[in-house]
Amino acid sequence: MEKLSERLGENKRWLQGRFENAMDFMMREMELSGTEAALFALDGLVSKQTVTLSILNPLMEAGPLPGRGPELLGAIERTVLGSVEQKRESRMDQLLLLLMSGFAVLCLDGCGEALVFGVQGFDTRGPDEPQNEVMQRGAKDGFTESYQNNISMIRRRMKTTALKFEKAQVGGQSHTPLALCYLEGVASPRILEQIRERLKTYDLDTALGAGYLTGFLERGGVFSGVGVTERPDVVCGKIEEGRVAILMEGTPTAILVPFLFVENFQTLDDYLTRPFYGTFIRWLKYIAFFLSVFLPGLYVAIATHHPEMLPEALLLKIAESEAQTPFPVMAETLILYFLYEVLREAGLRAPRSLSATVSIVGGLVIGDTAVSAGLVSAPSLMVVALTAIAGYAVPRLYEPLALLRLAFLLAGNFLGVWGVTAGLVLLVMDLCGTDSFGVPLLSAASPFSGRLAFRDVFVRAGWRRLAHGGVRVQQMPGSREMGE
Amino acid sequence: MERTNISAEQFFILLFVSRISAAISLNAQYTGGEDLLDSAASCLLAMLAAGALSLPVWLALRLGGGKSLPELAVEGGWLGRLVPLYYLVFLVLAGGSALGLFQVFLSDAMDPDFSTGWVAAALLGVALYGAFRGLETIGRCGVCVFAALVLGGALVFGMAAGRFDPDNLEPLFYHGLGQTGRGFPLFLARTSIFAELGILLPQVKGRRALGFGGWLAGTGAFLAGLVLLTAGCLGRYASTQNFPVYVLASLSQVRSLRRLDAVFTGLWMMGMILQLASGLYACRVCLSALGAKKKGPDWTLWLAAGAMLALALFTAGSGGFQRLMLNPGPLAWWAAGAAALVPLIALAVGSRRGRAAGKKEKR
Repeated sequence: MEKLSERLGENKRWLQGRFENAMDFMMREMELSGTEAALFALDGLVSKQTVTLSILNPLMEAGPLPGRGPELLGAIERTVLGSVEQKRESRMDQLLLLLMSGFAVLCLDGCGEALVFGVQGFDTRGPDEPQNEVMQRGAKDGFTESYQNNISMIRRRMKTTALKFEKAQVGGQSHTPLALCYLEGVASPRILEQIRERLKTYDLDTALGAGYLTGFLERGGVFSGVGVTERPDVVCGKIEEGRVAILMEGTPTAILVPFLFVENFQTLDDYLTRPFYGTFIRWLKYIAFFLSVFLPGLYVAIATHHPEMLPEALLLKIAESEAQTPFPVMAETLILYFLYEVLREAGLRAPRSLSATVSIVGGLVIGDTAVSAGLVSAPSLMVVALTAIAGYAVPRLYEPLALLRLAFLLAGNFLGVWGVTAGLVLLVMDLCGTDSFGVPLLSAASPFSGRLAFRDVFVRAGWRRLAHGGVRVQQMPGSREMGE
Repeated sequence: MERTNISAEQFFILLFVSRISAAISLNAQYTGGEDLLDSAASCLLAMLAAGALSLPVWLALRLGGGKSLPELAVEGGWLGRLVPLYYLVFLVLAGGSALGLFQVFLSDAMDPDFSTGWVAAALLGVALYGAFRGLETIGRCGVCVFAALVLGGALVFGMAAGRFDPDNLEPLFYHGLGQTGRGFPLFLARTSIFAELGILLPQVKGRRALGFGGWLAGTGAFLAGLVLLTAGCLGRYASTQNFPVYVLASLSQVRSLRRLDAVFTGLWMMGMILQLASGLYACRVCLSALGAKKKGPDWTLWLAAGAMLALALFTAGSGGFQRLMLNPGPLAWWAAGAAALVPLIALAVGSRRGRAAGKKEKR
């Protein structure tokens, strides 16, 4: 059954069949000016109060209306019901989708069309401060699970008609709605088309989070060319530079494309502080990134294969500590690293009431007792701890960092500093060879543009400079639209 | 061949980095003698010769209508097929000898507690990855390595410059021109630029001639400066060392941070990976031209990398092979052939075929 039947009985049976054993399916039968009618909705998705006040009461209180079938429907539409979100629909698949999106459907006998009303009434979380993108000076509201709320948060900040929210849908079963958010005339049509094409390749039945979608948007590489944010102000900043944000129903995270490597180091706070401090913080994060990736590998490489590289005093300290432990440097660093990851995961997943216990056990038992018992050396513990803390300075890169430092640890152990160097070049090559929707991930560092690199990559220039001569993301050096 | 374009700046920076990595592997066994400063004259002469020798490459590319020399040559039938084959062998020899020299250096200077073959394999593995990703990736990576080279080089050689003593410098050509003559083929041999120009230049856009001029001047100046610094810092001691530039680096120190040779070795490795990667990519272009395919199959890269690794392992493992592979003489002839002879063959056979095809069309 593709189209709505003119017989109400048939429509009722069809819908009841589709929603068999679905206790949330609601049907309210009535008679309107001598014509049988039925209102369908799904409990929990609609506001019963709105349905009663805006639909049922006006219908019941309406006097005799002219005509039957389509004529009657027209009269109801024009003179009785006046919902903001109200339209006619005759396709059954669309009616099902609307019902499951919180719409109420009014069907009349003798009419092949139904009236649908947007009367959504499900509970949504209010905007809280984003947990994963804490800012010192930025706004405190973050996205919620309702993409419509998220759209309104962006609209409130960007009062321009160039701001577009293009509707799309993914998920064979979930039919999850999403919106492509961009500024018309600023975003690249080529990138938009690429996004639409890649969304078409989404062939999962459900889309329960941004991570489901990013897998279909990115193309290889250690570092992703797709970014996420929980902040509407960040989305506004990004779309103003030509990027496209994807807001998905059911997730408080917006997806940002194209997303360059340097953006992992940029936060809104960088732009809310004075330029010299912003630059300082930016460099702190670069250094933290390098520490986080290379420190364990270099430590193991130097301690195992090239101790002569260390200053004598430091070498003696390390040798003294190592002499008291039963494991080689590599083994103890690896053990400590795994323990740290286990603790992190436990701290993340454990109920909040137990998090403190996990921290105490981790800090005291692993940190203190293991060293004092002589199971691991203090320098190894310090290296792993420093690595872990440095990793949190660039939280967006945590996932690749966790695996990279392990890879460098192994490379350093087996091939010394040469292994670490080879790994470094491999990593740089991977970065250089990856692009995000035709924009090189490492742009404007490589391909290099001094003007751009000393504007918002190596330094955070002042607002007077940032306000002029900026380029859109699709105009970055090396991007497909610009050529090399 | 499937084309990915890179800018002239990226291309010549890539070549600079590759060439510099060969320069810092300067081996006293082959430069010979005690008059290291004369080698500065050798390298300047070699750069001038490189400029002159590359003229046929430029001419052939100009007349080749945007095709690489292997692509142009294979149009001329079986004789033309010798051109990509020649380049292929030359690139594999150059890559294998560079990697072999690095292994020799590792065994000689660093004496690691694991087989240097693993390091060679790892370097080649990274280069292979770059070659798979394409010239664009290698070119971009070259810019990053260049930045590291500038910073690292400034640190290492800047610190070493404190030891510079003009008294260590012997007058130029004090013992005749023998040292200069020995150094000349060495500086000419340790580069595969002539082959890479002929193969990859059509994929380069922008101011290519200016880039090449910059490359010649920059490389010449850097090499001459490095030789001068080494001679000035080490004096006659340099001639007793197999790798004098390395010794210079290992004497550098920044306060309590000693043994900056690790930085030096890292820079050498980075440059060599790029040299190998661009060489492998060029091998692929040659093999795809031989097979008349748009893009050479993946196994061509594996094959070229395998050949380079085998050569490197043999070089490091056998004294006789080492003398053969690291001796600059034969490689210099290969380089000169790649520069002066092969482009002319490519041009002759390619344009003959082109003229024949043109006549056929007229009929």
